Amino acid sequence: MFARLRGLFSNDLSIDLGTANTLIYVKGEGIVLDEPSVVAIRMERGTGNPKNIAAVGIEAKRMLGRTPGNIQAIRPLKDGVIADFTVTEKMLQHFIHKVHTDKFKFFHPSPRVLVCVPCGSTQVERRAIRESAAGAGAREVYLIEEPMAAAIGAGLPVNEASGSMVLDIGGGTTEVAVISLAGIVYSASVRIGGDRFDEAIINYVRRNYGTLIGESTAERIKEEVGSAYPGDEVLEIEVRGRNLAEGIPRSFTLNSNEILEALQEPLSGIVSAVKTALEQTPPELGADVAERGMVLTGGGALLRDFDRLLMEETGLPVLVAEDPLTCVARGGGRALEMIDETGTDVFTSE
Amino acid sequence: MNDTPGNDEGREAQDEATPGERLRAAREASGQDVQEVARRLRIDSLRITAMEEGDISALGAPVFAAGYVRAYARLVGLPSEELLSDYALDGAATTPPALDESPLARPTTTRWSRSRAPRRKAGGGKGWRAVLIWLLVALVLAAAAGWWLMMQRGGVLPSAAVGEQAAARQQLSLPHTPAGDAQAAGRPAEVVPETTPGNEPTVPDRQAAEPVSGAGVAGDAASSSAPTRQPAEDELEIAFSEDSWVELYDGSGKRLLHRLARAGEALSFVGPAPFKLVLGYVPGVRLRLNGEAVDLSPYRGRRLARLTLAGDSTRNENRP
Repeated sequence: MFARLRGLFSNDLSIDLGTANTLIYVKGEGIVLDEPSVVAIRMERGTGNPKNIAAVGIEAKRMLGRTPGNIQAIRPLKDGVIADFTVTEKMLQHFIHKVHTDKFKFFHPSPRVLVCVPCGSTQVERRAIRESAAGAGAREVYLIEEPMAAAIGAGLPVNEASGSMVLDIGGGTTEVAVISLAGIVYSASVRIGGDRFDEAIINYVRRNYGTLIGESTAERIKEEVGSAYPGDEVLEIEVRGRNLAEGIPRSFTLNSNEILEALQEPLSGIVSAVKTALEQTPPELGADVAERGMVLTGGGALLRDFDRLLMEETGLPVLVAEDPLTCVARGGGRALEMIDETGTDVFTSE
Repeated sequence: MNDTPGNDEGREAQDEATPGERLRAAREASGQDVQEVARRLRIDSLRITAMEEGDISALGAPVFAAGYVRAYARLVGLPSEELLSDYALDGAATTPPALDESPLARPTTTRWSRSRAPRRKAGGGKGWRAVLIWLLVALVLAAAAGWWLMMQRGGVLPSAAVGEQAAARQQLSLPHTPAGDAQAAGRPAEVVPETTPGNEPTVPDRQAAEPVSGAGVAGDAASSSAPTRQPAEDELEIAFSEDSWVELYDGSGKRLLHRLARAGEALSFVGPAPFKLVLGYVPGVRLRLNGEAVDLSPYRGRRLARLTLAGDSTRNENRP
């Protein structure tokens, strides 16, 4: 009964529940939370082993790989969908409260929540996300497919009767979709994303240098010298890792061409997904896409020359959206506003 | 050929070159023609020309326009963000399209619903919210005002009102007891000068009538002389043979007692009836109202009692 009243004191939220990061967009305030989707759980000693949350978000990410026996830092989402239901619920609860801390403390927040789901997720997975958000205190839960949110966030004219193609490269999944008249005409999801890039770099370094590097080192390499297309200049980076033969940390230098080689496999997976999408797109919409180009969003779009790679591979114009990391969350927020303004329905069914 | 169309003239006056001209100059410096750039960017050559002429609207949605400009700038080695701000595109591209120009916000008839019907009509959400908030505020204000008024009147009303009430009760209950008779009979005479003092002690039915007029006049008399609440007052004696919690309120609602009384204590109060009493341990308490013992037998076998004593007759309002 008081849900509506409490709703007056809560903000509508759009949540990009990603494998790597969770972003929350608040209507009228913008992105207010951007934290890793990591939860640290402490197991109490004794019978039954009751679990409780030790840390969430940035704090928990710092614990990844550095925990003692009774603490476990886990990522409750895998490949864009919930792998651990209760932990996801706790994490969402934590984030929703965190967003509301500064105001109206005496009310439990009960916001309307829009959550972005991968288009490849099954009904069971969607249901899990919906339940999770409801369990975390949401008054109403809306689901929107990630590429749709990304397209709205990037500013694509999704409501027009013309095809818009969007490629959202996230941490766990890459979503490609062709959108027309506020609906998804074609969509596909491949389970390749930023995490796979990191893995590929780790494997490459182990294979060619006989050295083990950690995930965060791999991420740093990707961000600093990673590229998707051979460029004019060759960048170098000095990294440290444990030499497998000697067992001693050693320092060595990697260059951008090596990383390009390392990334070939995941990159070709994404390129082939895009090509498949273009094949499957109805010809009229395909022509629209060919004329105006496709838009890249998500963290993967920040990989150097990714747009160039796709341009060369497909022969179509490829554009990187403004602020690609937050496109999905912003698009979700915009979609929430549209519920109030026009009643346009861009939401997905269960 | 170097003429720029009208929409860039104002800007041209400030800057030495429009962004379109800078792009064209950079392209020519690198020795590429429009076709070459179009081929390399996979963009239609018409769009390249539009960019060079500063005709951004021909490029379509801001996301595309910004993207094309960025790609072109990168190809010819110009700072793309600077060019974008020169085109005044930056703002349009970073912020989502404004309400009226947003394709989705357009009042089209595309209200088909695949899953859930939209909850509210267009614009309904905000208005509803505002109305509810104002209603809440008004309610709170009204409540506060009401409370304040109550408090204002509360200082004056109870004594008079309760005094009258008490007087009314007294006349109903008093005539039975001689002691009460004497007291009650004596008091109206003090306050009410109009009643003839000669006949009052002997005629009980006169008394039944008089206090009413007496109480009525008491108000008037109070304004002229010092207010005495004598006619409505009773005497209550409490004797404790055991420790007991006791709360006592007189007829005006004043709290006279609120503590644990010790065994052996004997207390006496004079004040307007009815007295409200809460006794924590009834077996250890003796009550006398106006000198007469109050019958506590209804509470036999119990510890807690709540009772109201009006005049000298005990009316038990026992609400456990």
